[in-house]
Amino acid sequence: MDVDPAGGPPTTGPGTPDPSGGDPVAFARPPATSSWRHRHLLDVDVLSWAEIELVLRTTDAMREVLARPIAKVPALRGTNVTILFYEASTRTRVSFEVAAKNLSADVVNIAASSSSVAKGESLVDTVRTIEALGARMLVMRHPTSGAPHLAAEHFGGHVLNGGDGWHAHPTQALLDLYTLRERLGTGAEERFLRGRKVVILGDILHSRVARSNIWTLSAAGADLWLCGPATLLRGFEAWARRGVHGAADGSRVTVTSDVAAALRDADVVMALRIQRERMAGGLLPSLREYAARYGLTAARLAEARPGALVMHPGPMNEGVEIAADVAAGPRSLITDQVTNGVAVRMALLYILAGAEGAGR
Amino acid sequence: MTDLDISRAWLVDPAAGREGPGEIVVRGGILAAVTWLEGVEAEGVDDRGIVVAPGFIDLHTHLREPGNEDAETIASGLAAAAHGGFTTVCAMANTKPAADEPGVVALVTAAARASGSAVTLLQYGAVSVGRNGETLAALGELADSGVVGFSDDGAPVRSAALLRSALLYAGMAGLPIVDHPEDPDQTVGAEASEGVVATVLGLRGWPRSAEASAVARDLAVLADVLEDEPRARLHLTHLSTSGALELVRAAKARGLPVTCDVTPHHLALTDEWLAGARRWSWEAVDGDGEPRDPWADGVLVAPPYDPILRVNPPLRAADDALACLAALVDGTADAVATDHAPHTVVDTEVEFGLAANGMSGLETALGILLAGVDVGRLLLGTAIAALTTGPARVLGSRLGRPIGLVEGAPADLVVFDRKATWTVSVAKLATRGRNSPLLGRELGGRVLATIAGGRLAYEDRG
Ligand SMILES: [Zn+2]
Repeated sequence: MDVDPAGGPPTTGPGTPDPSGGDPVAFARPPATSSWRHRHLLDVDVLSWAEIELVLRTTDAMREVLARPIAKVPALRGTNVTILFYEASTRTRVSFEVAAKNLSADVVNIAASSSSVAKGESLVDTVRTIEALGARMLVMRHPTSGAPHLAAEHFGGHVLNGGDGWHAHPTQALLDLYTLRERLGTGAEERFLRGRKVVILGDILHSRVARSNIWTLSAAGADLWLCGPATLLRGFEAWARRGVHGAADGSRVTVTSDVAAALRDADVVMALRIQRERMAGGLLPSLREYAARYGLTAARLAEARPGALVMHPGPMNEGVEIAADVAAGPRSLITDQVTNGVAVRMALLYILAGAEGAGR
Repeated sequence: MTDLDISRAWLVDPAAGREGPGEIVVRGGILAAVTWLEGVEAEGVDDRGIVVAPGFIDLHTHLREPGNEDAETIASGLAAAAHGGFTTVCAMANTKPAADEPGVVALVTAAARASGSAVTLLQYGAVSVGRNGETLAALGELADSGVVGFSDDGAPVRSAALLRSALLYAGMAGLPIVDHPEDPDQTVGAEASEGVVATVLGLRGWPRSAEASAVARDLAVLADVLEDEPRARLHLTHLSTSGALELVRAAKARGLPVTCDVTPHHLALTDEWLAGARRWSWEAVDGDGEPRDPWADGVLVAPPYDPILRVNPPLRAADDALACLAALVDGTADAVATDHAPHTVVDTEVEFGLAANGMSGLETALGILLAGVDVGRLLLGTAIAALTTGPARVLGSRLGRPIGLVEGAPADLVVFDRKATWTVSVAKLATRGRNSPLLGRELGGRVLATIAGGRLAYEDRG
């Protein structure tokens, strides 16, 4: 595995809080977090490229921790991390939980149902209660876009957005970027997706994964293509025309329903989950038709560059948005995404813990 | 009864089509003398100083009594109106219970009288029983009880068939149907105007066509019923899109009896406020009228997703906001209406998508319009007309009083200082609905006094 030590020797600068408890042996000396300006991780659109790089380099250190026989460091010892999910998602919840435990945090899991939202239980009250119970870090997922921003207004610690509505899924976008850097980064070039064609294929409209990836992949310089049926792309053409703020030079976004054009010479194809509700909403005629026209099959992937990489944020509907042989094929990064998810989340918990008093 | 002497002020009388330097004398509540100054006497008086205008009329106010007095009472709502320069407000029917029968109207009227406020409260009746969109309310009885029109606002008149009956019945009484134009099939779960901001923020889009298609439906039904009931009248409230305004412009050109209003927030605020921008609509475009990019401009100064900004129809992009402004200038929009919609903190300190629709508007309407006047987007006279003669025309004889600076009539006027500013704050607001997106912002045109029906309704005490 080529773990990139780019960015100079990792140091812990003077004045930087050292959450490892000062035990240099127990920890792989991650880079200093003093360049990080945010108290919370609510969205990726506010991150500078330098901050994104800090996450990637810190993740390198966490990968090193994960490679040890006992993948545990004391960085967050005594810190209460509360995981509050208003939507069921075993994958993301467990990933955060493992990440927090690897850093020796005390983890509290709260599964609030969406029905408690409907019942009028106030998110603000819930957040205040969680803080009163000692939480310093709050990982939350919520079906309403912007809910973590509201929580951040009322929480004295750090809020990590584990996915909100259709809006943002910052840790997913950062783990996707990290996973691509492992394969495509040279270590020398900072915007490592420059000149690479990256396709996001599927239900863009309802996807927080797509929205967050638009920011991070553009920041890394990708030639980004958003592809799906027109009903699932509404609004994105206007965004693409306006451009993505913070994008690297040369990065551009193309929106199309033409799957062949999108896949031609692609370096990376990221397929998104298609949900059954889209039929009820009148946005798709049938899953069968979607699979036939937009499903990522081996035949379609043949249009891409030889060795093109395949990604999926999970959970997958195999045979719908992605064929089983593609998902399990040699070009698939899907299991890497899962592994890196833990490392990225460890990195983010670590960085935020060192970011006392910073701004939003 | 009030006495008042104002010399060397800028008088605006849209009813007379006149503005300029002048003096006002009120004796015992009667507007005893209106003197227009000319020549040497008029020197040094301009529209940047003290302005005197007829009292404002709001065609679209939500008072929450009966049913939700935590958000607003009739007394607090009328106090807010007076603070905003309004001497007449028309209360929407979506109270609990809805104003769908004369008993509710009588209750509201009694509460207004009991409040002691000098501000006149006029009431709309509901179009349908319980605003359920199914059964026609007792429009004839409601008309007899004094309502000024009928509206299911909060929601559109559900079906074209119901609208047809309502226009015919209301027409017999010479009253307008006031519709909230929205095709609900297109707006299920909608959180923000469809467009770049909604896309970036991941908010469910409210398509602009949902408004235009509802307006087209309403106009088609109106055109059809006129044959049977030529007194039928339609008023479309809070239009927010260029497409809908274009339809009204064309309908007026062919003589249909339709009027419409726009709100201060739809013409001056835009959807980029949801992302955290805090600039006026005319600042959100460049010299060629092309929209600026709030992300690139570094104007995102406030936290995104402020639930106070959730409103129906939603805040639109700058091109639509400026179309609302243009409609006011060219007369397509007859009036500015506040859609004052107070809510409790409980209803607004929630996730954006769960927030109650509506913002508090009576006390900031004048300041917002004056911001447009300051940059030359609007003439002072047009702004005042939109708050006085425009709404009066919509109400017709039901207003029950003359409008304008008329000698011998009970004084009904507002005095404000164009040079003085005030900062919108919870302490300054009279409404219980603290859900104003302008809290903390400085507005021009501080109201010094509001005199309604000869009585002092509001006075600035510093
Ligand atoms: Zn309405």
